[in-house]
Amino acid sequence: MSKQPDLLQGTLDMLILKALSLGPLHGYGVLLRIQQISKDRLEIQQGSLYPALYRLEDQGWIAGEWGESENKRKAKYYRLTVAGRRQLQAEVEQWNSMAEIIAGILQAKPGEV
Amino acid sequence: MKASGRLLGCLRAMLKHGRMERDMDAELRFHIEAYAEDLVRGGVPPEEAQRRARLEFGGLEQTKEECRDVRGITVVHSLLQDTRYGLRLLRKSPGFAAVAVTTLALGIGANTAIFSVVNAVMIRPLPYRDPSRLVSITEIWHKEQDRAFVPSPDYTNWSAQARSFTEIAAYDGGFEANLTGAGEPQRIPVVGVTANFFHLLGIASFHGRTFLPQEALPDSPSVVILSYDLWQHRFGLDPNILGKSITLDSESVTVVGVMPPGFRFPDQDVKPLCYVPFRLPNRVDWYAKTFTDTLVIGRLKPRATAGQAQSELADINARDFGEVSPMFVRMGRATMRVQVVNLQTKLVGNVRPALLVLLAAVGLVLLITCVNIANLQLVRTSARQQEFAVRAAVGAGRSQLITQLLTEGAILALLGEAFGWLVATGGVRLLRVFAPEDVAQLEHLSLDRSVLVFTLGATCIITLLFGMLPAIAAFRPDLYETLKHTGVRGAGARGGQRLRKLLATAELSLALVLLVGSGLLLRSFHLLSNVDPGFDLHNVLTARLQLPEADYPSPEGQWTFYEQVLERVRALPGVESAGATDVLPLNGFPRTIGIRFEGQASPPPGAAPSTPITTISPDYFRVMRIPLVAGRFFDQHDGTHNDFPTIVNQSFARRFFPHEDPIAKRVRLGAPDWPWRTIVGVVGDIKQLGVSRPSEAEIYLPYISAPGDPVIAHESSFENVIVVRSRNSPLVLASAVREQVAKLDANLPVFDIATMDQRLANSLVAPRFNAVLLGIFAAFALLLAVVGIYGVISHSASQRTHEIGIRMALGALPTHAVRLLMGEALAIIALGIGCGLAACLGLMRYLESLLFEIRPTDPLTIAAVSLVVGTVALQASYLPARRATKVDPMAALRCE
Repeated sequence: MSKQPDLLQGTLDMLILKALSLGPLHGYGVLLRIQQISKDRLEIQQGSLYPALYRLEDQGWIAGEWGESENKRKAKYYRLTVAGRRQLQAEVEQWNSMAEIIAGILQAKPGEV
Repeated sequence: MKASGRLLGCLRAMLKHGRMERDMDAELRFHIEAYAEDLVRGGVPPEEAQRRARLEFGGLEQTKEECRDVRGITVVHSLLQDTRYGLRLLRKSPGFAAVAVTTLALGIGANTAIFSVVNAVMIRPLPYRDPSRLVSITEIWHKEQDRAFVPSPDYTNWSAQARSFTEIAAYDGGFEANLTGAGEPQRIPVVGVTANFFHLLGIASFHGRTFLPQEALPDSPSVVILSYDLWQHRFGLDPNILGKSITLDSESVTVVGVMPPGFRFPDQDVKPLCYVPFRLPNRVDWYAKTFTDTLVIGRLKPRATAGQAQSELADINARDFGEVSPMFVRMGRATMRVQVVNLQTKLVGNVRPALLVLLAAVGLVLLITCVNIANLQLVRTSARQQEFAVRAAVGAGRSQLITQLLTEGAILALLGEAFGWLVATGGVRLLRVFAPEDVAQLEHLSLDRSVLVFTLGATCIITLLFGMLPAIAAFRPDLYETLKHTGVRGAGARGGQRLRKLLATAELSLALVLLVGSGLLLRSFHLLSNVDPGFDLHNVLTARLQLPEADYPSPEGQWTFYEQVLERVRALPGVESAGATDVLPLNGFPRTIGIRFEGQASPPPGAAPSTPITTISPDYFRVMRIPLVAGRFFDQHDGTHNDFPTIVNQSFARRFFPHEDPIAKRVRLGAPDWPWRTIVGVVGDIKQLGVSRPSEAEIYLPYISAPGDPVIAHESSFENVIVVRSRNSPLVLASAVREQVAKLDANLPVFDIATMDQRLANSLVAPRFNAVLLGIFAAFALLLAVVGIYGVISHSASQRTHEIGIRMALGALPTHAVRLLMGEALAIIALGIGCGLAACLGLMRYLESLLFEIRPTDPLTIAAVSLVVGTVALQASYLPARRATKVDPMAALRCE
């Protein structure tokens, strides 16, 4: 299995938090929602989702609970906790500022430096 | 905080481990099924959907593993798994498990037991306040056969002047006294101590008080302190004992205190039941008629060292040199050496070499045990090469496999330790019974915390030893090659076999070292027990009596009493003859006396040669069957005339009359104005000082002597040993002898009743103990080494079945095949014996102090042991080699 780049790993956590901020989901649902929002432009290695979910749960940003799926099956649903919401906000801010800086750098023209 | 949180998480994970696994499984399964359903809904056929869902999910097990990692449970989980797996493996090969655990248990148990002795005797601090500051102080007098004592003037000088000590205290060497009064008369050991003695040790009395300084003055009232034992057994813990009087040697003394239970006198030769003040002259008077020998202990000041203290005391002595009387000068005052040593070191004394040898031996046994198990593990590991390869192929990391092997090692070690602890408990019990009595502090032998730490440490090392070795050998990371081999013979790693041979060689050398050591001790013990004592010690009963000076003031009164006792004893049924002596053979410490020869210039006082004297009843020689060499024995008339007859032994005759007949020569014993004595007989030498000590020149006097004989009058110790030769088992006479004595004097204790055989056996307890223990260890080591070489050769044989099959198919005879395998065995055996012999040369000198009349490089022992090791090892390797040739060539060829 090829490892995801580090940047993406951090990003995956953020994307999961974002997906859950829109409402509780099971693991497969998280995957679907991210793909849906990205209009299928983002491919997520399915197996890598669960270690990330467990990590977030361990850190207390999301909480898991067993429930019933749409087709009447037992599934584990995750929801964002208060701490998770704060974390999402912080990560989004950080991402935006980072994106702005990098965008700025990338837009630099020869005469400006 | 963080670490503890992690730990908690781990613990939680461990506890909830099962549920978490199930949850994880359910969650992942749900994911895959949901995805597959979606695929089906998109038009993919169901089977294909299932397949694709799984495929796209990626490695399921790896995901799980990563999830577990996130949860922090991998470590715990894999440990549990490894443990379970290891246990299962052990259950599957119960033979291996039994052998491994049993040998380990014996190895660890024996180590623990011996270490507990070392701990009790050498490591655990003495039971006194701040014991590391306590020292023993003595003077070694070279001209007095290295006798160690401090004349009281030196002690007095030191206590006044020495600055290295917070204080020093003295005691006499201990003596015995008759305790009479309530109950049966009893002979008890007593010691005189200075008033500050207990304070120096930091031990308070249990009841009452310790001695006051004025109680050591000559005319102060007599007082005594009881030991707890005496208080308990003789006085029934009487709470009103203080202030009461007891009778010691017919003198009334007042009890002022009781020492606490378990208080141990800081000298293993002195085991007092009560204490009296040690009365020393206050003034330094080197010209006093008599001076007192003292034994001295001290407490060093916080920064002082024993070395400093020693030179300070030597300086004090040097300043005083001019004051010393000519007698002390001639006794070798100038060559006398002050010695200050740590008290514990002193107490361990002569037991130390034996203990260290035993500890080293038992350590070697444990080492062999480990090597052996490592060897067995290696065989198993190489057989499991394929298993490892498969596991590695499905993703087990190298570190995981090593962890697993280590876990398996740890399981064995822990099981071994658990059973070893049982072995040790039994071993300690045995040691307590059989260990020689003079081992200090052995009564405090126990398995305490430091012993536990020692065993756990040993177990850790063992685990690493036989966990790591196979792990190192197992990993030839050539997965493909190993997997390719599917045949049963495919597992042999050449490197593993080389390592196994090396281990077997090491085992043989270690076993050889132990066997040579125990062989030397056994031979030495054999020599010791076959020493001719110079008399017939079978069927002789001995019993000691001490007449109180108050009741028997004159020598005439004493010997009259003894003659009466002997007369009654001779009349007892079964008694052949009976006599008396004041010094028993074998364990005697005879008094010595200066001697002058008629016709020779009289040497100055103190410079005369001195010889031990023994006073005996006239028929003592006949009772003991000591042979007469020349002249005559004493007879009943010797006391009636005035020529003072003496009898000398052969050593005496050889030393002082090398070219003459000593009979009728005259010698003078003691002071220059004491009478001349005529030598009337020469008797054979006997082992007076013990079987391991050479005989010295000795003089015998009859205890019935002319009235006023100054030697008898001055040297009488009032103590005698009754020796009774019986027609059959002498011990049954014990109570009869006691009865006869009681009829003559009801207040006289008869003590220390034993046969001469028993006394001989007692003097051999220590060497026998060492020899037997080392012998057991060595036998065990040899057994392990034999198992080791047997394993190597049978493995080698099974590896080469194919080769042998081919050779035999091509016409080789079975003997050729045997020769092939035995060549391997011979190389191992020769190298093992060679290395062992080299090690012996280096190590055996540490045994020297335990050996009697045999050199540590005794060629006979070494040759015999090498022969035994060689033969046994060859035999052990011949069996599997022989079996290898029994194989049918066709079967051997087919098995590939």
